[in-house]
Amino acid sequence: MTSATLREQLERELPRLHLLGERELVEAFLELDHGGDFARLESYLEGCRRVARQAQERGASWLAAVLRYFIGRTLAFPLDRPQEALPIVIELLAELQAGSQRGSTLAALVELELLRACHKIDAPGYRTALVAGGRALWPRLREDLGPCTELLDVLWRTGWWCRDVALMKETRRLAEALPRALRFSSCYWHARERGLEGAPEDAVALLEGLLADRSELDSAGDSWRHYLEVELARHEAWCGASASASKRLEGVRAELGPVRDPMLCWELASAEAAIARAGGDARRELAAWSAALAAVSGLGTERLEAEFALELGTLAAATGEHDALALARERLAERLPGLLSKADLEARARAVPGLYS
Amino acid sequence: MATPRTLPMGLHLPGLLTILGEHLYSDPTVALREALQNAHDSCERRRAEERAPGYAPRVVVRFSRRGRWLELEDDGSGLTESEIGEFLATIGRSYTGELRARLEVGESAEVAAAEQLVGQFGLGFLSAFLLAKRVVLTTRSYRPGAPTLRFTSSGGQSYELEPAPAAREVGTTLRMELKASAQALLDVETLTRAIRLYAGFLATPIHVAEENAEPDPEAVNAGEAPWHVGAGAPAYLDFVRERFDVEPLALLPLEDVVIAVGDDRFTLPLAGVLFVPPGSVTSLQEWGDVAVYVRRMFICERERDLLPPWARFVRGVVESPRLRPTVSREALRQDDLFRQARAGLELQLTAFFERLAREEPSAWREIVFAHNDLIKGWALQSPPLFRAVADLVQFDTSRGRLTLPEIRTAAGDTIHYFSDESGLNQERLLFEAQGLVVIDASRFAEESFLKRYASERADVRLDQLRPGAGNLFTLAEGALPQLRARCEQLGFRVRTVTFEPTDLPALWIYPPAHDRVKRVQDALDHDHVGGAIADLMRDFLARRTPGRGEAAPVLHLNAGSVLLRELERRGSDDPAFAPALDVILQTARFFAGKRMNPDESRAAFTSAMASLTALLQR
Repeated sequence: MTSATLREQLERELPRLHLLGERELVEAFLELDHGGDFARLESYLEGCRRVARQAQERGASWLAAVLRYFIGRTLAFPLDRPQEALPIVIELLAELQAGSQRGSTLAALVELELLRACHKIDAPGYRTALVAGGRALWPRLREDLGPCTELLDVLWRTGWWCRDVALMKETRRLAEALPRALRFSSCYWHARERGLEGAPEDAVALLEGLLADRSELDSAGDSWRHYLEVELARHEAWCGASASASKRLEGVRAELGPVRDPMLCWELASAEAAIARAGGDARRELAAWSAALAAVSGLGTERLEAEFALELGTLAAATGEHDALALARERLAERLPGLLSKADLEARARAVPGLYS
Repeated sequence: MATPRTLPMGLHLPGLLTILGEHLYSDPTVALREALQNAHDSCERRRAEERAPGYAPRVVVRFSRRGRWLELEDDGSGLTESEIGEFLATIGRSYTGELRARLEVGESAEVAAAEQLVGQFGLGFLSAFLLAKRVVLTTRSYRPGAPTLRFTSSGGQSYELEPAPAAREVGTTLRMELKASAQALLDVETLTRAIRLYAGFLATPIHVAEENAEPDPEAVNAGEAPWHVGAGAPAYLDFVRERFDVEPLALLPLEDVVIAVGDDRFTLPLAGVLFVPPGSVTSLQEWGDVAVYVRRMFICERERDLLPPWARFVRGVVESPRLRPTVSREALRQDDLFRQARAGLELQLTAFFERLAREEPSAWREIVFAHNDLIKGWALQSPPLFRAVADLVQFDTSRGRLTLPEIRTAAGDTIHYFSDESGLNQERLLFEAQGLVVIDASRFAEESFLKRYASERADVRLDQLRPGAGNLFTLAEGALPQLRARCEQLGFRVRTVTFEPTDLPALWIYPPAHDRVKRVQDALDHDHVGGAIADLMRDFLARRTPGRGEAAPVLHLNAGSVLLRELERRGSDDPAFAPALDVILQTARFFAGKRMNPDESRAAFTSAMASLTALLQR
């Protein structure tokens, strides 16, 4: 939970419930913990569901709503399962907006999760609603730095996934108006923006600067450093420094062991593909796109899945890799027809013989 | 451009002293651990260097409530004037660390002595200022002719050193004149508890006494854990009972780990015990943590990353001289040795559980039953654990808690389950009436567990039951025509069917996620949300639901119901026909347990009451 406002509200609500005799409920709530460990998020979700039911039965409906928010947030954010999160946050938002919590901090936070889920499902497809929703939400969150930072990340990533430099620049202007937020990620997104603008050498310099600042890195944690390293490797590959990029990814992999963070997993695979493409190594690139596709399989990140399948299929058709082509064909047939933003991908997929009809 | 100059970095000693003395440690009582360890190391040093026969090391912790001081007295090696200057008063230099390095390359007895030494960084003494405003250390070295010296410091950049007014026996007394905030320590029970926690396994006996009192001859620290003396299983059991206050379901004494690095093999010394506690609750009371000791000194109580992620039903104590603590020694560094220890623990745990399952199936079954929910969830992350528990974990079914083999014995190789957690009262009744054994898989790991189970067994088929599933109903076209016509006149979608139990006259079958769709639709209809958010909600509804008409519930009239057949026989002109049907329909609506808004609830209740009144007035 990054919202200071929600934390303050909880700090008022929990003693109140305790005084009302709900000691067990309060203790059960306080026991909920995943320790930042991806492997424990599933059982954390089950714990939230259990305590939410308990809270609802005991008439603590606000606490139950907070727990349902935690469930939706955990699915949409660290677990990257937006399709699973969507019905939960939509139902909760409908309920909050229809009652006394209309316009509350909690409702704003749930809106943020709705935007987060939708941008992970199909950022280009929902682009208009995401940008309008983000702009409307910004003034309601701007006093709460944690969620505010997360909203900016959603808008930036929407820009990145839409290859929309203008949106990324607009988001950067919003961020600059709030200098207390985004100590770290502003520079990261600026690097990606420069990458999209065809200046990967600028991106490399920005990312190297971030990685050189140990004090900030140490306070942000290893996971953030891994994202930076992966992004730097991608941009190094675009600059032609494939050896350095490969070594960098190897270093990240050695530290990670089995990767559990899905987003880091697909970022790693797509950076690997960029390195392979820069080096003209089709076999390696094929393996990388297969890994990227495997990383998003079953998550509900539909646009990404279609994009990865298209990359895999295009390369497989060119190299005569029948199994990979069949896999890509199957995944495109599953994902593309229902995708809001399917037009550009369908056109590209139809241009590859035997990939999509 | 001028040649760059190389300049020395500055050091702000007062600031550094504050950081090391006050901010390095999270808990002020750690200062007691550091002082105990220094006293113990001093005794070990004297044993290793003086080699005097009959030497009996001893530490006495004294305190005075009146004088507000805490004192640690040892009969260890003591310090010479030069050692005070070079080690005690030099930050970052540790005599013990250097002594250990010397002993570790010596003969076997010296290597063993090195293992007994705890100190490492040369920082621990500074932690005294977490508790004390002033420290007075009186010491006399074991070296022949050494004087008794008194060292005094208030934690600043300088200290005072002078001959002590009175000579003393060989050893050291550290007196900490406590800050007001640390005076809670001045209590026998508190001190005893802290000493047992931090120094319970140190070989040097530690005694506690109040000022001017003789210490109790019995040391407060046990001195040894079962693995220090090669004890058998009963001693491990007693240890776990006392240390954790639980009756464990199973115990695994730990062994050294042999690690292969390329063609080389080396042994990572590992000792301690893992055990399975008597119960757990998913997410709320999960374990998977161990207390950690390094060279008999306590490091932390709940290290969460040393056991494999799936072992959340396991706890224990792990000791290894090779695990490396952080500088504050309140946590472990997660380096290669840490990862190798973790791999070794996973191997031992896996082998232990496999052996239990093979040789002591009843003990293994008891563990699986006690941690049923937790194991079901975490087994999905460990194929060996999954295989070991797949036939033992229990599921909530329409016939009580059963294992999967029990379900298959009772109902064959098709496993039926449902996973919708809302409003299943009527569906359960239907499933049970069909004689099916149905698993309630609405909780998080159940469905995934069942899918894995079926995917690994060619003869098992999974059948997810859904409300309104065809196999629950037999179509009865043409039956109950008057009732059906009346219901259609009321605007309902109607099916005439037969189903068990026949004393249930009618059911409303709702499409999946009906409540959710209704809630979102209500919010949109009443303009509770607007703008882009409303657009996203509408898109969700359009994609997830087939349209308003098809989202409406379907009334299932039971052609086998005696009550409905009687109403049909009386005909629609009978005065009881309409009110009786209304009561049946409203009752069925409440029975379905689906969401109704306040207006709908009131309307349904009013209608049912009016119909009952009409029936009574006939």
